[in-house]
Parts: sequence; C-alpha cells; structure tokens
Amino acid sequence: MSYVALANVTLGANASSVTFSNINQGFRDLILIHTGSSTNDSINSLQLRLNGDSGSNYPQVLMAADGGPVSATFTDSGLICGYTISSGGAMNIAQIMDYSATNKHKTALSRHNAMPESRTRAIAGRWTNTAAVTSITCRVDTGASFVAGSTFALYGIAA
Amino acid sequence: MKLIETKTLLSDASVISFTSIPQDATDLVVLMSVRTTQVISSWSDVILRFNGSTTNYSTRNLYSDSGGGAGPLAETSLTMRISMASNTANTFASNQAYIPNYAGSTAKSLSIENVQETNGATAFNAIIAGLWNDTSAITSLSLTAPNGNLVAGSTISLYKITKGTGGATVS
Repeated sequence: MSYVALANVTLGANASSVTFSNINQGFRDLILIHTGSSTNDSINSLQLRLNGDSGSNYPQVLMAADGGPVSATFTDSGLICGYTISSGGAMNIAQIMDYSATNKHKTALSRHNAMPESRTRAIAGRWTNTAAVTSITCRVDTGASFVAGSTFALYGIAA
Repeated sequence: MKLIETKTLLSDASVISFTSIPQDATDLVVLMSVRTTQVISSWSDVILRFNGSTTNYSTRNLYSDSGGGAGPLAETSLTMRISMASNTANTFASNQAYIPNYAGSTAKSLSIENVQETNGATAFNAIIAGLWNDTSAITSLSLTAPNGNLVAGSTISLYKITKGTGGATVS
C-alpha cells in the first residue's frame, strides 16, 4: 500500500485540538500518525472524533501491556488511540478503513506506544454512523492540551 | 510510501544492514521476512539497531505464544522472536517496524508487529512499543541474529513516507 500525504501539522505552541477538515474522499483508508505528549501529568488518551460527533457512539475493545496484560471493552465519545503522556515519546497509529463509504459503520485499528511509561496497546473501534468521514478532530480526552512539538500526519491509502 | 531498498540474503549471514538512509522523508517502515539457522525448542531472536548503537533501547511487549504463554515483557533491546531451522520448513517470520520522525532531533519511538511462523506448539506473536532514547537522526539500521545466522532468502525492505503540508486547523 502507498501512503499519500493529505495533511500534516507540527504544533508550534500547545493546542487543545487539531482538526483535519474537508478530507479528500478519493481513497480507501485513512492513516493518522501522532507523536508527542500532553500537558496533563496524568495519563491521558488521544481521542479522535469523526465529523465532530461527540456522542457515545464509539464502541471499542483493547488489549494492553500496562504493567500487566489488560483487555477491556468500552464505549467512548471518540476513538481512543492510546496515551498522550506528559513525559513525551508517545506515538499512535490509527487506520480508519473504508472511510468514504456511506453504507457501513466505520471501523478503526489503532496501535499505541509510550515507552517512557512502558505501555503498548492495540485497540479496535467502530463509529456507529454510516456517513463518510469528512473530518477528524484530535483531542486529549481529559481536556488537556497537546504540547508544542507534537506532530499529526494524515495519509490516504488508495484502493 | 516509497521503497528505499530491498535486501535479500543469497547466503546465510549474521546481519543485514542499510546505510546512508536518505534524510529527505518523515517516517520509515521496515518490513522483514526472516528466519535463522538456530535449532532450539521455542523461537529465535533478531535485534534491530540504529546507527550501530547497542545502548539506550527499551521496549514494552504484549505477547502470546500458542503454547499458552502470554503477558507483558520489558526489555532493553529491540528484540523480535522469529522462525528458525527447527520450525516448519520454508517458513519465515513476518515483522514490521514503523519509525516516525526518523530524521528528527528527538528520541525515536517506534511500533513493531512481530510474528513467528511455524506449525509448532509455541508460535510467538507480539505487539511491541519501542524507544531508542537517542536524538540522532537515523542514518543506518541493521538486523542482527545473535545466535546462528539469518538464512538465505531472508528479506528486508526499507520504505520512506513523506508528510504533507498544512491542511489542519489548530485550536
């Protein structure tokens, strides 16, 4: 598969959210790559809201090595992609499959790595909406901010 | 995503290396199809290194093996468990490493998927969070078999991904 660069930002200052809008509908899947940290000393999660939907419309299942093997199912107000820890070094990869389709819910697979906190996770999620994904808002689930220097890159995967 | 180079061993060797990695992209993807000459009962190790460095690595693994083992694992090297001579014939392990911002001046986080392929009872697979706590740009990388050799036919492909510009709203 070939990654076609769609958008990218490196934060020059702390920011509460990063939004990719008017996403090109000409691909099969989307890949979002995030690196960086957040302003909260506690462990926070990178959360993706599709088309601005902040409802509890994202059922998910995860497996994690966070000190002990963990598995969980939950529903959130966005796709949880892993941590944005304050000590830096976190990276998250999220793939949203068939994002431009209008006859299916949107599924996503995410991998999360945060070695300063010795954590790794794999998360499968679903947005219970058949609308094509036209925007993605990246935020920290606790309301903290992304730290300057954090990067967000969006790629399209051709069919 | 563009191919930088593919290397396939024509004969057994202890290491496969890539040098003079172009610094004109954003992320690296390393795809590995590998097997070693080692003969033991479980799996064989291979180690990924950057710029020839053997220090400042750490990982957190979530693994399982079909022999009933499972759990977290913390290590100080980028070690993957792969297929070897005592596994099913003609079977190579599949691994992928994604390294964002490889040419930047921050510590290098990476994401690894690791699968040992065999029909045996202890096939290993893992997701791995890795960190090379070094701010140097990655200009070379190597995959080393610490026990035995990588067999002929082992292949590594190195790809680069270049980010776009703009297109995001920050608030």
